[in-house]
Amino acid sequence: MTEVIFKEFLGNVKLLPFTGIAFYKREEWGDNADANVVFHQLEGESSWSIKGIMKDTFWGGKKKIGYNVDVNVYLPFNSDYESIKLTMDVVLKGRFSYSLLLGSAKASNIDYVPPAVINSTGACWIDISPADVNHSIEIEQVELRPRTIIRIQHFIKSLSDVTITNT
Amino acid sequence: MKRITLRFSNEKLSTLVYDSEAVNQLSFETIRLTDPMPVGINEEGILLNGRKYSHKLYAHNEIEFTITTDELSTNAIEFLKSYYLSNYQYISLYSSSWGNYIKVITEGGKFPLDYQNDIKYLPEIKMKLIYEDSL
Repeated sequence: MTEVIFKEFLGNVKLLPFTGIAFYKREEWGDNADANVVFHQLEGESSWSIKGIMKDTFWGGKKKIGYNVDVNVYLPFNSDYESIKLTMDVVLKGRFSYSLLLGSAKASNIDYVPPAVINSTGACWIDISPADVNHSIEIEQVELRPRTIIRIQHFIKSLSDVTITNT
Repeated sequence: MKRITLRFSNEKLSTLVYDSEAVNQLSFETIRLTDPMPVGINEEGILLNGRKYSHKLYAHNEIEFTITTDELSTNAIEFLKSYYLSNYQYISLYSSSWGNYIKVITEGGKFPLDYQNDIKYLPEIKMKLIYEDSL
């Protein structure tokens, strides 16, 4: 009998804040070029979630039929704003996939080394390969400063579309 | 009873004993599977003296099931299309073990594939099967 025991969480919990996101433009399905657009140093309010979509069954239970992915990237407003807008609206107007960068992770095949991340004890990529994904850009004023929000919401059929890699 | 096995064939089966290794066969863990329910066809009318009559001609069991996204891979949808179009359709129902095959028929019309919330990635198939033998 196969037995899997997950244990020893105590003292081994990784702190992995959401620190960056890398977008990969897809000219053809399956192409996974180097990171085309990368954002580092996100605001702390940035978040992501993958939630199961449940459907009621005839027997009063529920059955999982897929997952909703919700990513909210908050970017401080700076002089890069125009290029951010241009990049997201023009360069990534078609199909793309993306990776969430957690902790001290950085996008693959780029030389840039992000500054040290506080409150992080690891590095991790979460690659998501959605069948159909797009983004919206919002601009809002928060007290003394405006900021940009990139929102990505899409559907994935199973968690096999998500790859988690510790780097 | 939640599980149903569908099997189709180009020829009438010589035995109705369930065969787990049979070809052209797939099992599903449905999200909806009704018990067989009789549906009768009656000859009805009213006489000149006002008396009504209803003569039972025959009745057939019907069963309805729904298979949703989690089980509808591309292969499963192709299988269900083949099943829908085949001449000889059988089911087996699970109740502590798989029961003997039951010969059924599907009604005509469009293949009953629908998309929940009109989303391509959320297919769902609702099918009604009618037992071939009358009650």
